[in-house]
Order: sequence, then structure tokens, then C-alpha cells
Amino acid sequence: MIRLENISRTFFVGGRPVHALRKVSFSIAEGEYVTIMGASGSGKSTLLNILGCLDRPNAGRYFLDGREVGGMKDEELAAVRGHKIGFVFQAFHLVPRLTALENVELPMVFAGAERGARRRAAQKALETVGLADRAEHRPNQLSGGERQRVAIARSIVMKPAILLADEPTGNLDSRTGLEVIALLEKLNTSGMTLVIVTHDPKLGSRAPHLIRLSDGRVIEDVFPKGAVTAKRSINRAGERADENVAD
Amino acid sequence: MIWLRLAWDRATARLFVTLVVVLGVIIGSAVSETIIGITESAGKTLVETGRAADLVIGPVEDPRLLVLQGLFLIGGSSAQIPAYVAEELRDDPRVAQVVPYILGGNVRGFPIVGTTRNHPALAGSDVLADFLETNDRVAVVGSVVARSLRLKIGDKILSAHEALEGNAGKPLTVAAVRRTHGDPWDRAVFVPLPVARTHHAFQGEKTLSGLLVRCATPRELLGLESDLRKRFSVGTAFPALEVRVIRKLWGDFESVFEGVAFLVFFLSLLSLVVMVTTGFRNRRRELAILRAIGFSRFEIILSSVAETTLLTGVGGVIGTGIAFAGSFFLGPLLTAGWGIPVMPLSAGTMIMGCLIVSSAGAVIGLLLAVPLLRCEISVILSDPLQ
Ligand SMILES: Nc1ncnc2c1ncn2[C@@H]1O[C@H](COP(=O)(O)OP(=O)(O)O)[C@@H](O)[C@H]1O
Ligand SMILES: [Mg+2]
Repeated sequence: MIRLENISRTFFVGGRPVHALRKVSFSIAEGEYVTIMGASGSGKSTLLNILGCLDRPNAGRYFLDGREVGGMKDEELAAVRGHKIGFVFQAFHLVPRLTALENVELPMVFAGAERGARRRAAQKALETVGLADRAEHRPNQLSGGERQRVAIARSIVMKPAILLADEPTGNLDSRTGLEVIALLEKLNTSGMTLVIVTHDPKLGSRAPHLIRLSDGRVIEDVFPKGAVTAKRSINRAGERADENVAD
Repeated sequence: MIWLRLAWDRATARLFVTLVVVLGVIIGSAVSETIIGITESAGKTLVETGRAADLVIGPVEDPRLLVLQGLFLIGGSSAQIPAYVAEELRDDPRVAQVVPYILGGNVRGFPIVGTTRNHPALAGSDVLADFLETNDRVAVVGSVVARSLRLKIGDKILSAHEALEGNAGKPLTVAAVRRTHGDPWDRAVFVPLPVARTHHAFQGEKTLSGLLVRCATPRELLGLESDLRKRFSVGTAFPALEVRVIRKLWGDFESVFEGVAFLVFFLSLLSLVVMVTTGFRNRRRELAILRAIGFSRFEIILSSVAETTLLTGVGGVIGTGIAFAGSFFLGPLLTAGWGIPVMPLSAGTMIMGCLIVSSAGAVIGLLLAVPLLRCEISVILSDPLQ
């Protein structure tokens, strides 16, 4: 489903090159649950932005469902972002003036869905994340965990094939963070390909597929055994995470 | 129509600010369109009225005063010319038409003009003109006079002179109302020549205030004029020439007014720019979010253009409506007060006004959307502070 070949991304800061990604290659199959780990500044966000078509690499090739993304025009990329990919950000990025429901509806607005259909789909997505009763709240009337769940609802309302989450728990306390992760894992078990970026080893060890970055390079691309499957309950997951730390 | 919805959402999200901006645009377009409408209308009337005669003949030496008095009914002089000048001119083959006039008194400030059926104000309307071929005490009143004094056909009016003397026995009867032309004669009270003459104390002697002359052969205009001066020692003036001089003078005013109009309009647009740019960071983040979830650049530009166009469009339409009302009510006041003939804004001017105001909004929307889109989405969204 996703295949990267020698992807490089270089930023120029004051004329000096910063190599955020250097010849990164890997593949992700449909329905996988992948965690991308690495120290701060190792290039995780840059990688996820490229996967999400928010950014373009300087070199290398990115195939999404067999099509090379590099050849797509701006409008096509927008369509890919809208239909194929759901994005969850560390800072939630909800539109403050819109209610939770309206935020969730947004991606359907651009897709030209009818009002009734939009409402129903958004309502359903909010139910999925357990926030049906917060539909009319604005982002500033919601807790951090709730905001992130609204953001997740927004990312899945178009039923994307891939869900990308950049440090989705970074702004949350650990308990709320675990709930959010469990929610994402639940979505994965229902078929969505899930890619989570984190620098939290507790969370990283939960995924069947782990990609580790260091200084813009892939230093590990493994399927560690014994990772928690997404089917477990929140409580079980929490305990398991604690055990991992104890290890 | 996603972009329209987005634009609407954004405009209504900050309702107060939006209202202030719309109000600014309303004031800006109303003031500027009123000013421009009035100056344009006045300038146009000036030129058109100047075409009503090739030559004005009167007792005054200053040609400009002669034109102002004879055609625009501004300023007065009790000096007269002998009536036989008109008789002799009629026999001159170079002359196509001679219209005598007598300026005599006023009705509540509206000048009384004694004249014949050939007066350019009445040309083409036999119904009106016929009244002037009698010796009856009848009057054809201009539309502004009728509106201001609430006159209808059959009403009696008194000249100021007679009202002063308490001479209620000799009123004029309104025989007809001349429809609005947007010219100086909208504020005139036309009476038959003999009726006007009775207002003058030049016992017995037949005199006139002046003559409006049309030439048969315009090429001989100059020759005719110098002949007249020699033979009758009267003042002469070429309206076309004088109007050009007046228009030049008026043109200076016009550019000042138009400068003011432009400034007011510019300031109102500035409020729009300020509104859009104060929310720049938020707006930029919002647009980045929208693009991240699938909106294309084009839709976002459209939404920005639609938003500002919506505001200026609404403001422009309301402002134009106010400008129309302004010129409609202010016009007659200016006409009555200073003799500046003003017509209400024409449909063309109003449509142009709306178009200009709205497209100014569109341009602002476009110019402001471009820098928002130049930034990378990933950069904006990856900075948690943004
Ligand atoms: N827009 C940018 N401009 C310049 N440098 C950038 C930009 N984005 C990321 N970088 C640099 O690229 C490297 C990788 O950044 P990032 O992908 O955000 O790392 P991570 O998410 O793993 O913390 C860092 O050195 C960072 O400073
Ligand atoms: Mg990061």
C-alpha cells in the first residue's frame, strides 16, 4: 500500500542544508499497525508529512497504492489527502469557531456531500470516538483528550484507508493518551492502516511493526514479537504498557 | 459551492467585526457615489444646458454673467434691452430662431421666466408651450418647483413681489408641470412674455432681459455676433465657450470632490484589509488545516475572494442604495439652493458603483489569499504554537 524508495528531504536554514530524511526506504502493507519512533529531531514528522502528502521529498520515490505521488499535481494531492488519508496532529488543529460536529463535517464539505449525509456521517464518527454527546461543543469547551478524539473523528469521517498520527498523545496526560491510542488501535482492527509517530517507548512497543529513525535514517524496521494486539481493552492495554516499563 | 459556505462561515463567525466592515463599505460607497454622482450630473447638465443656444444676447457686458443669467437663471440684473432687437434679428437670414426672455421676480425663490413657446426648456412639448402664447396669468412650473411647493395643476401661486404687496387678486394659475430634466429649468416658473412684463416698472416701453439665439449657419456665428454688437450695443455671449470656462472651474471642484470620494472609499476598504489581516495567524492555520484535510488551493483562494467580495458586495449594494436616495433628496436641495441641477444616480452609475466596490473586494481577497497559500502546510501545522 505504501512504498518509499530512497526518500530524502533537505531543508535549507539560512542557506545551510538540514538533512531531515536521508534515503529512507520501507513498505507498509494494507491494514498494518506501524509505529515510527526516534529521538526528537530525527525526522519523524517530516516523514509522516511526506506520507500524508503534506510535503514533498527532494529525492526518491513514494508509491501510494502503486501510484507514484511525486508525479501528482497539487489538486490531485489535495484529493488524496481528502479521500485516502486521515491525519491526526499533536496540536489537534481543530477550527476554533466551529463546533465539534462541524469540525468533523469539514472533510465531507469539501467532498461535496449533502447536508443530511454529512450530519449522519459526522454523528457516527463522533459516536465511534465516544463523543456523541459533545457534538455542539466548541473546541475550547472540550478537554485535551476530547479534542483529540474529535480530531480523530474528523480524520476518519471520510473512511480513509490510512490513518496517520503525529505524536497524537504529545499534548495529553498518560492516561488520556492511552485512551486515544486504544481508540486508534480499535480503528486499525476495523481495517484502517495505522501509522503512529511517537517518541514514547511505552507506546512504541505496542505496534506489530516498528520503524526506528535516527538522524534522518531508518535504523530499525522490525516486527517485534509479543506486541500487544489492538483487540485488548483499554485497561489491559494500560497494564501491559506498565509492564513494559517495568521490563 | 464549498468555498461560498466557507466564506459565509468565516464572515459570520466574527459577526461584529464583519458588521463594522460592511458598515465601513456602506459609508464609503454611499459617500463616494453620492459625490461622484452629483458632480457628474452637474457637469453633464452644464454642458447640455450650454448647448441650448448658440448665442445669448443681453444688457450685461460680462459674457459669463450673461450665460449664467440667461440659461442657468443664476444671478439677476434688472437691466433690459429694447424689444426691437428681437424683431430685427428675426429678419436676419443667418438666424434660425430667436427666443426672448424676461427674468422678472420669483415665486418663493424660484425664478419667474417670461418667454415664448420656442424656449429650449419647452421645445418638443406643444402642450406646455401653448400656454405661453396667451395673455392669461398662467404658469408652467418646473418639477422642482412643483415638488417643493406641492403644486398641482390649477393651483394659484403668487410672485414674491405681489405677495409683499398683499396683492392677492393677481395670482398665477399653474397650467402645467414640466417633467424633471435635471436642468436649471426644473426650478423655473415659466409665464407668457406679456405677463412677465407687467412685473416690470418700465412703463410703456417694450423691453426684454435678453435673447437666446440659434444660428441657421453656425459658420457665420462670429460675423453675426460682431454685427450685433455694432448695431445695438448689446452684450453677447457664446454659451458653448462660457460653459467650457465654467466647466474648467467646476472641474477643479470636481477633482477635489472626487479626491475626497476616493479617499473615503479607500479608507473603507482599508477596514476590510485590517479585518482580514488581524486574524492572519489564525486564518493561516485554518487554511492549512483545510488543505490538510483535502481542500485544494483553488477552493481556498475562491473562499477568500468570496468572503471579501461578499462583504463589499453587500456593503456596495446598500451603499449605492443610500447614494441613490442621497442624490434623490439632496439633488433638489442643491438645485433649489444653489441652482446646481442634480439628477438622481442613473442605473448605469449605480451598477458601475456596485461592480467597482465588489471587485475591489475581490482583488483584496485575492491579494490576501496568496501569501496565506505560499507557506508550506506542514510547516504551519508542525509548529504547535501556530
Ligand atoms: N520546515 C522546516 N524547515 C527547516 N528545518 C526543518 C523543517 N522541518 C523540520 N526541520 C528539521 O528537520 C529535522 C527533522 O525534524 P522533524 O521531522 O520535525 O523531527 P521530529 O518530528 O522527529 O522531531 C530537524 O532537524 C528539524 O529542525
Ligand atoms: Mg515531530
